[in-house]
Formats: sequence, structure tokens, C-alpha cells
Amino acid sequence: MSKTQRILALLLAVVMLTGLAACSKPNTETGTAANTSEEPQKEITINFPSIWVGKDSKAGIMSELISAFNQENTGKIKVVVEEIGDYQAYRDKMRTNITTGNVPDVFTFDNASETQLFFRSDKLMDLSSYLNEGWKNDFIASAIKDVTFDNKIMAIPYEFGVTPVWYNTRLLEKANVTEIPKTYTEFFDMCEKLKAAGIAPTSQMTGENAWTSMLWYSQLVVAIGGPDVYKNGFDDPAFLEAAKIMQKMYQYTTKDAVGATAGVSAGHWINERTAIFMNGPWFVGRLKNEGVNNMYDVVEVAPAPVYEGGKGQEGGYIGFIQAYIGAAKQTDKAKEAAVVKFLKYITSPENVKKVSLASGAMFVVKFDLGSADNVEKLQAQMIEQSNKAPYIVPHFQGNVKPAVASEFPQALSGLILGDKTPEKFIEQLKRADSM
Amino acid sequence: MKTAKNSLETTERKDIIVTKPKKPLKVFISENAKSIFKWGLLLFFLMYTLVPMLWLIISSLKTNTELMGSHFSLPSKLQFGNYINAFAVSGLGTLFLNSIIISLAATLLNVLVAAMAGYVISRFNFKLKEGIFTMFITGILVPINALMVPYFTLITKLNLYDKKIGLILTYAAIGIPMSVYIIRGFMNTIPAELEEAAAIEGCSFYQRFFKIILPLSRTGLVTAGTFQFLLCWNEFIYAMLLTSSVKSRTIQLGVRYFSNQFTTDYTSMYAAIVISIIPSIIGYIIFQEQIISGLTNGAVKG
Repeated sequence: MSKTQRILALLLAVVMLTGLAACSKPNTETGTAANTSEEPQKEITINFPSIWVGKDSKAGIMSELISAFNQENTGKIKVVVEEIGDYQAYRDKMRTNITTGNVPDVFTFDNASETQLFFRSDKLMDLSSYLNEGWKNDFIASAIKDVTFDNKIMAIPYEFGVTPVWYNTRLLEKANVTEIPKTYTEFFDMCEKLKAAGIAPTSQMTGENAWTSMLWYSQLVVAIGGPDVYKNGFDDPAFLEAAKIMQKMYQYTTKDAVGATAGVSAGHWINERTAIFMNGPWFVGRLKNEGVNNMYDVVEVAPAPVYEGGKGQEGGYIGFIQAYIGAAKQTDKAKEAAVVKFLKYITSPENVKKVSLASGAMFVVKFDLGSADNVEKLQAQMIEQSNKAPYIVPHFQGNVKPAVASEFPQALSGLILGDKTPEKFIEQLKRADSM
Repeated sequence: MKTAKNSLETTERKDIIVTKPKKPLKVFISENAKSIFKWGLLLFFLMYTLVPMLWLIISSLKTNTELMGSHFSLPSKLQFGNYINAFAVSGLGTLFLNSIIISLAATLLNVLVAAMAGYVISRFNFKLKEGIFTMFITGILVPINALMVPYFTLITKLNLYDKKIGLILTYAAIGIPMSVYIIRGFMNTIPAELEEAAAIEGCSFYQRFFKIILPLSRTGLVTAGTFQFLLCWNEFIYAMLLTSSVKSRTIQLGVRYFSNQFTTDYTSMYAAIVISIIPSIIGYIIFQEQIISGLTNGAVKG
């Protein structure tokens, strides 16, 4: 080895060592932070990756609440929000975090099948003892059952959504429809009238997760097979019958429905190109801001129609918990107490009421509404109707395996395009279910 | 006299032009078929490339209602507020700066390491040479999503989570297979005699690499660097996975900031996308000669 080579090799080694030193520097910092967190007088940091940021309807009020909490607990507890607006990215990150054992102190999740995987991971905090102290009385009882695993309460049920049918009464009047249909026969009569008046009746979509159409299919399955339909699996004839009705439903939609995304489907409705839509309370803000011709004033929501001869009942609703709050299992008791304090704070009836009134969102936390409370019109309708509902059943996506939910949009496209018969559509879902 | 003659000539010429019989369209097409086809093809690709860009820019200046109302209409009033919104809501300024730092650093590191590897694989014969090269190439075929868990574990164990250096190292590593493939291909085209002559003149191993091979591989390095820069600039999954705060996040996270669980502010998102593609365009304008010659002169030969 020549002298120059030796010098160069030495230089490269120095560069590498400097690099490693740079890498290891934060190590020391974190180590210090970890050591100091054990000291009781030091501020406890709670890491909270949040989806309620950016343009989310709850972003503003959530930020206010967390700031107020941090202020109340200055020097003791600090909640640090990691902002993740993109929901799919949020899911991917939480899955990776949990897989690698880096569970965030507080986080949210929504999928029922994923819920079980998280609970089994043994990485979440068991909240039973805290909730059983009386805290759980703030929640709707059935919601607590959803998060009970192996007799332990493993998460907090939080945001709730129902998905009624949204009618643009101005367009219905143009087609001489004066009443909201109560049965599917009346519904399709109304669709005929709308079509004759040159108005595309419903917004549908098969793109992305086929959200709006998936909700219609969910309504139909329950309307035909009743609230316990999912117990029978895909062998229940309700799934096949609902597929046939979906084919009919697509005769009353826009030409671009196959492959349409949520933006396209919702865009048709808020621009008065379709008269009927299906979505949840989170859409109210968008309707107010983007609905053309003061559309918000002429919109009414109602439960989906009854299917004559079906096992479903009038007023039945599709509803689901769309956000559970989970917490990482803690070894440090002080940190565990801090996390529980924060969870109690954001789930307290008074704070949930603030979030609900500010965003239009619905929750499984019970709170009283007075006459002085400025409840949003459509939100009030949804609350009233869901309170009267004989049953509230989660949507199709939440009731089936993730593989089936992923297969649904493609299977539906095939069904609508005529590539698949309703029987083949069900077979495709069954295949995904058996994977 | 001269003037008169000139004017006469002009008149004559005019007469000739006027009386010239028109060519039938069929004849014109058959005579210019090649040219028509060439221009038609070029126009098609021009439209194919430009129309989506124009649509994006126009859409970024509309309201969401206008966008949903008609995807191809012009805005009734230019909504520059979308651009202000893009900066204000998502903190795009900081994210933009982070992206520049991370992309440039990761590109430099990647190209340097890939050039070293490419040089050895291209110019020297040793045991397992082909095996090592195949190992690099295999990396191109591995989807980056499949490496999320190992990368996340590695970065957190090294305490590089939520630090720019974590993303820089990850991006530099992810792009190495492709860069080695490109650079090695380009170095294969440099005649061995050049290096032999340099060795006879007394150039050492490092001098031959830094003074002979690297300058001659500039086009290949720029091509690999361009691909690497675009990868770093547009990458989203690892930027999300390995960071948690604005101090180390990149612009792609800012772009997605407008998309939520159930709603998306499309026009602000498009404004953010327009802002995010500017550096790539500038980079292409600066290096277009090298990029084009790199792509056409053998930089991507196997």
C-alpha cells in the first residue's frame, strides 16, 4: 500500500467515524432524555400521532383542547402531536410501529378486524381498572363491548358515525317527488322520475374503496338479511340479493360511476348533478362550504328504505365506530397515569360535546345537549334518527376480513360492467374470505 | 433602369405564383406523409406530456366547487389563495427546505458510493464479481414497501428516528442498486486503454478513479443522480415512517396534508403539488444535456 493510499484510507476511516459519531450523538441525547423521564419531577412527554389535523373538521378544536391540556399541566405532562393527515399512511405507520414494538403513547385506529390484531399483540395498555372505576359510564355500553378482549378493556371507543341517505329536496321537487321514499319500491319509482327529469338519481363509485357504493351495499344486505346477517357469512342469500339490487342501483347513477373516486362521486352530488348520496356526518362541513346554490338548506337526511320481504326494519341504520383510541403499555407508572389523565380529558363529556358541536362529528361518549346548544341541523337529524333506530349495524367493510374489503371494489366493478353475474360476485368475495 | 428591371421581374414572379396550379390534397399528403406523421407524433407526445401539467396548474387555481363542477373548465377567478393555503396550512416552506437538503445529500452520498462500487465491479476482475453485481441488481426488484419494518427497526435502533440524517441514509441506500446498475453500465463503455495509460504514467488506484474514470463518467453519474434525486424528492412512505415532526419531514408529506380520513382539499393539494415539482423541472433544465445523452449513449446498458 502506497503512502497516498494509506493517507486516503485514513481519511476515509475518519469520515466514517465522524459519520458514526454523528449518528450516535442523538443516541446520547435520547439516553439522557430517557434517564431524565424516570425522574418524577421532570415533564412527561406523551407522543400522539393524530389524524385530526390539517383540513379535518375536528382539527381546530382538537388543537385547542390539547393546548389547554398542556397549559393546565405545564411542567408535568406535555402532549406532542405528530400530524398525519393521510389516513392510509397513518394506518401503515401504526401497523409498522406496533409490529416493531414502537407503539405510540396514544394513537387511533378504526378497523374492527385490525382491532383484534392490536389487542392480541399484548403491546396495548389494559385500561380495565381505570374504566371500571366509573369512567366507562360515560360511554354507550355496547361500544365498550367492542373494545373488550379476553375480559380486558384494551382501547377507548371514541368517534362514531352513521351513514344515512342524503336527499337534495330541490332536485326531488323538480322531478315531482314530494316524499322521502320509505321502501325500495318507492325508492326506484323516485329514481325513474328523476331520470325522466334529466337528473342522475344517485352518486355511486367503484374506485378506491368504493365507499359510497359499499355503504349502499351494506344498507341493502341488512335491509334484506336483517341485523344479524353477517353471522351467516356469504352463504346468506341476502348478499346475493343485495348484489342484484346494486346492479339495478347502477342504472340510476352517473355514467362515470364505475371507477369513480370519492371526490368524483361527492363532486356530482354537491354540484347538484345527482340527487341522492350516502355518507356520514363528517360530510356536513363540506356540504356547507362547497354545496352549490345554498344546497345545504335543501338537504335532508333519512334512514335507508325498507326492503319489502326483507328482515330489516324501518329506521335501521348503518353506523360504526370510526375511531378507537389506543395507548401503549407503559412500564413507568407515572407515565401510565399521565396517559390515562390525557385520555380521560379528551373523552370527558364536556370536551366531547365541544368537539361534536364544533365539527358536527358524533361520538360514543354520552353528553347532554341543551336548547342553548347550537346543534347543526343535519347532525341533529342524524342524532334523532339514530336514537330511534331499531338497530345500528356496522358497514360491510367493518364486518368482513380486510381481504374481502379490498376485493369488494374490483368485484363490484365486474358486477356492474356485466363481467360477473351476482353469483360470481359472491364467489369472488368468498374466495377473498377464505384467504 | 435597374429599378425598372427589378420591378418587372417581381411582376413576372407574381404572375407565375398566381397562375401556378394548386396541388390536390391527396398529392400534398402523399408528398409530405413522412413529415405529417413526424409532426403528428411529436404533437401527440407534446400534448400527452403538457396537458396533465396544464390541467394541474389550472386546477390549482380553481375552487373545489369549480373543480367538482367541471374538471376541464377555466376558473372564474384565479384562486392564488390556494397557494397561500398550501404554505400556511402545511408549513410547506420548511418542508420544501428539508426536501432540498435531504434529496441533495442523499443523492450525493448515493452517487459517490454507487460510483465506487460501479468502478470496482466494472473495471476489475475478482472472485464473486458477478455474484456481487447480481446482489445489487436484485435490490431493484425488491419493492420498498417490503422493507418498511427492517428500515424502521434499524433507524430507531440507531436513534435516527425523526432526524434528517435517518432519511438521507435510507434514501441513499434504497437507490444504490439502480445507481450501481447505471454507473457500472456507463463505466463499461470507457476504454480500458485510458486507464492503462494512466497507470503507466504513474496514476495510483485512487487517482485513476477520481481523475480519469469519474470525470469521464459524468454523464452516467448525472443520469444516476437524476433518478436518485427524483426518488428522494417524490418518496412518501419512508418520509412518513421515519419522521414525526416538521423539522425533518419532506414536502411530499405537506402535499398529503390536505387529504384526511373522509375529505380532501383538492385545489390546495394541487397547489402544493405544483410547488413540489418546480425543483425537478429546474434540475432537468440545468442537466438536460447530460440526462438525455446519458439515456441515449449507453448509460443504462447492462
